[in-house]
Amino acid sequence: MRKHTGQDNHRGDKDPDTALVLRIANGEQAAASELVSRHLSKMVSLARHMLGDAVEAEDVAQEVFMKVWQSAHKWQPGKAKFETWMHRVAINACYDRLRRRREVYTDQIPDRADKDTPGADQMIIEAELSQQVEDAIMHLPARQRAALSLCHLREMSNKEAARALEISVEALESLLARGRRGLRKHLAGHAAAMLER
Amino acid sequence: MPLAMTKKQFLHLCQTYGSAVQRWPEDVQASAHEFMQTHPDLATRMLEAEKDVDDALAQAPRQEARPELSAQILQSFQAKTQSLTVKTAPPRRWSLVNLLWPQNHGLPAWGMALALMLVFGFVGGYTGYAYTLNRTSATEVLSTAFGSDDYSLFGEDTST
Repeated sequence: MRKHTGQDNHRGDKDPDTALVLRIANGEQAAASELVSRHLSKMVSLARHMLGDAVEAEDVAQEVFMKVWQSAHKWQPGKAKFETWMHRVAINACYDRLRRRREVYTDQIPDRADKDTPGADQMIIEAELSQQVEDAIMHLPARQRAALSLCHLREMSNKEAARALEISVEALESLLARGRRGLRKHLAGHAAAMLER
Repeated sequence: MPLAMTKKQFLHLCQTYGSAVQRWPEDVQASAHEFMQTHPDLATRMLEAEKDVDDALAQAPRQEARPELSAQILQSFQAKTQSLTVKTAPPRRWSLVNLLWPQNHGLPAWGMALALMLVFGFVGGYTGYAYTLNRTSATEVLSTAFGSDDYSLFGEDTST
């Protein structure tokens, strides 16, 4: 078996965002709107997994797009995908926030449903599971969390994820493997509930 | 034809990328499928062992972007574009002409007023100076103000 170099689904393809970025550099509102609709949810979701906080996730997403507006005219197509660069900006913004953050943990479960409504029990169980998983992810070191977020939750190719994290594919794989081990260890106490589903 | 994958390599990929082989790197998938055909029980056990982590990751909360956030971000783009427009406007040239007839401000009157004030200031200054020389006639004063000894310019008969 040849040593794998990592998949890159977009290798050889044109960066779908290049034209948009050039139009944004020219001040086109429609291009900005298109870029936001393409990537805002991804940025919010990534930041949420990194920070475990919905409000901070939105702040990070705003920071990313501010950076896009400021840097669009400097963008040089061909070096890396624009989306990869956006992920890198988001991850670095999350790292900054994690460094500044005073860790506050809460065991509160989101109150998503009235207990008397049909299916409420199921919704509560799902909310509990979701919270447990988020807690487990938040207990991982930030770099492992970033690797898992990009590859498993964002389903990014390993090469793109490695670029976004500015590491080699081998280093990414090491982070992924350790992250998965850490997640399993943390969730061990809840494994029965998870597997019952 | 792909080279044979070892058990150790298959396990490493399971523990790194999880139980869904279709999400493994493309360049190892052919070898992985061949391994699964030659070692079906072992491959299944290895993949099953990672399924709990995959299931857990699938439960991770997903956060969608609110429309209000999208609107805020687009507003920031407009603000940025407007500030760039202001910054890239050509710098104003500070010349006497611009000072007297400022462009794009719709206020040429104050430039004209300033010009008239300057003219009358000079005239007034010279007039005052003329009085200090004890010249009493208006013609003398004006001639001093405008720097001429030819009184005929001011309508005075100088033939005598």
